[in-house]
Amino acid sequence: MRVQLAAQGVLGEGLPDWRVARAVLAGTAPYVPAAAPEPAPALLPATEHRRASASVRWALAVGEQALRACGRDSAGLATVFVSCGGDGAITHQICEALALPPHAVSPTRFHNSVHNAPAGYWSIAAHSHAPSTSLSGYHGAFAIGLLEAATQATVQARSVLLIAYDLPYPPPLHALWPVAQPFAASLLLDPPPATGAALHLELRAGAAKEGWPEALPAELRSNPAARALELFAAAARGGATRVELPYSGSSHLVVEVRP
Amino acid sequence: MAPLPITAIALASALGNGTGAATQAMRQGQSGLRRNDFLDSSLDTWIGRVPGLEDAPLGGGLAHFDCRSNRLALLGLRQDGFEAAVARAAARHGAQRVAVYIGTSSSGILEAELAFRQRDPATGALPATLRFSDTYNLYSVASFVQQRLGLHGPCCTVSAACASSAKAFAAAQRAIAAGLCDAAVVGGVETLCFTTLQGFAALELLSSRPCRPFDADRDGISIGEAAAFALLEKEAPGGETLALIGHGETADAFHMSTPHPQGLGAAQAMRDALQLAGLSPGDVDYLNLHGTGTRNNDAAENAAVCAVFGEQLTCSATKGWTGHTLGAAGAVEAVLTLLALRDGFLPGTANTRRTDPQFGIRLALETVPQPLRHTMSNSFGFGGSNCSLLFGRV
Repeated sequence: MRVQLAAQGVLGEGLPDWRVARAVLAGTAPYVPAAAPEPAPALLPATEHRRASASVRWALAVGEQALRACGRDSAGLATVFVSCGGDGAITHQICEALALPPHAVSPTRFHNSVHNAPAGYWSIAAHSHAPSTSLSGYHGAFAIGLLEAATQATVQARSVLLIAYDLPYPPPLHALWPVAQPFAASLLLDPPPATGAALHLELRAGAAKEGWPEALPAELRSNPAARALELFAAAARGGATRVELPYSGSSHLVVEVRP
Repeated sequence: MAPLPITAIALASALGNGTGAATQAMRQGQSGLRRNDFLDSSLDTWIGRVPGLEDAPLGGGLAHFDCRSNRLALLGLRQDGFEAAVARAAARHGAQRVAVYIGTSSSGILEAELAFRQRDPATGALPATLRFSDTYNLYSVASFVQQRLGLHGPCCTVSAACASSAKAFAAAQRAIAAGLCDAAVVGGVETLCFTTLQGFAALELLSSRPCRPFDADRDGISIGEAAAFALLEKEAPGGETLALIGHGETADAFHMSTPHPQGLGAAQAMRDALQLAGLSPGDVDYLNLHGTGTRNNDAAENAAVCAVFGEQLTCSATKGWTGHTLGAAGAVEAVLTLLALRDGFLPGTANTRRTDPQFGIRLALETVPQPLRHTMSNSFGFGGSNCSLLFGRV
């Protein structure tokens, strides 16, 4: 299966956007640790910034970044959202409230707890009725999202925006899934023929070969969404290359990147 | 799209184990709902509980997956000869060519809810019984189903609220069309939990009586739990078979928990499914409504259905039989819609006495024999997530 990578977005600690990330991944600038900028998606009205959870703001901000980079509109664009852990902060708040009398849940928190909350806020803010799906995987979440987005682009012959995000859980859930750093990435995929790097995807048996970019902090690797950086490193370097991404316990996704 | 053969289906729900139990219950007018007796919940509501899950721990090599959600998934897989049908498909296509697409909205969240009651008073730590990847995480159920069936193809959890497992059918169809796999186990698994019971109570959407979809006096939902599966194959091994012939997915882009009042997104999902199948509205002869039983949801769906089909299409809502199984509802109702098609009957609308006189849709209240050619099932969820599935024969 082949799709074209029209644009991408990046949001993480020391990686505030694709421009900085590209320089780090291409080896032309050092990685400088720094807190991630507070995501302020332009799609959301200021009044919604407070109500929307952190994962919604991260997902929307990184999605917008890719669209800004190539001057595309969000309306009518199909979207695929993928996250391993979903919104741990909301799960924590709900489970804590359920454990204590009166065992009640806030209605807003409840509707924000669905895994497709970012997709819902995105479609409302973008006035988009286009198809959208929300997926979960474990350590292979990014590859699962990439394969679904590429499949949609291929079968339905339309552009698809993939948004992958994972934020660290608050304690005590953090001990269960010790992701150290927040990260979000977006990829705008076009069906061929189109401009941009060509991505050839193939699912293969067995574990993925390690390919974490040396320039990046090792602890970021525990964030499933950050696997996008292995693909982006290939795009930043410019030459044809091959990346193996973990998919599930028994398989991995091979991505051949051709500029 | 090319019609995609459906070569096996399976169901475990409040109507009993197996599709036969569900058909029999609907023919006899026996709803699966009961007064809320879920663990220590004291909410005044009715639920569609699957009996016995409390006493059926997973054993053997998959014991680490043990939680209510995966117990229910296993119960569903064991019905209707489904596991044997998957084994035959894996032998035909190769285990790496058979995918797993499971829809759920909560997976094993119940385990986290219970673990939060047992936090260490000194450190706040959770008990070691809560395991992230095997029980808590949304991917747990897809991973469990894949390992239980010994499959090695694409594997994915779709989680888009109450449209989750309907969307799993669409994703599986695309994967087969793209050549990623030759067959797919598609399903929905959702268990009762406190988040959804208390959450819908907080939204004032839980009925204190068995839910009455599309009734003039409807006043909310009854939550249920279920596991439902279908086996989709690129080619059927023999003869005429049931088939997925269309699907449509849209976003409402209106509100996080309230549908668009005229059901614009819902209507578009139905039209997209018809277009993909190359059918006209008049070609469809039964629609399984999303039909939750809330004032707003049913009114919006009535408007959407009338806009697409007029007032001639026979519809029913089956959540009065099973309860609203949330993330599993798409697969549960796909299976009920396929049973209606296969066995030639219209499922009735349990508990509903008088269709809202303001509605234009034609609602079947009783289960009656009726030969069918093309049937549709609607699923709509929070976040404005809409999905319509269209079934026929090939």
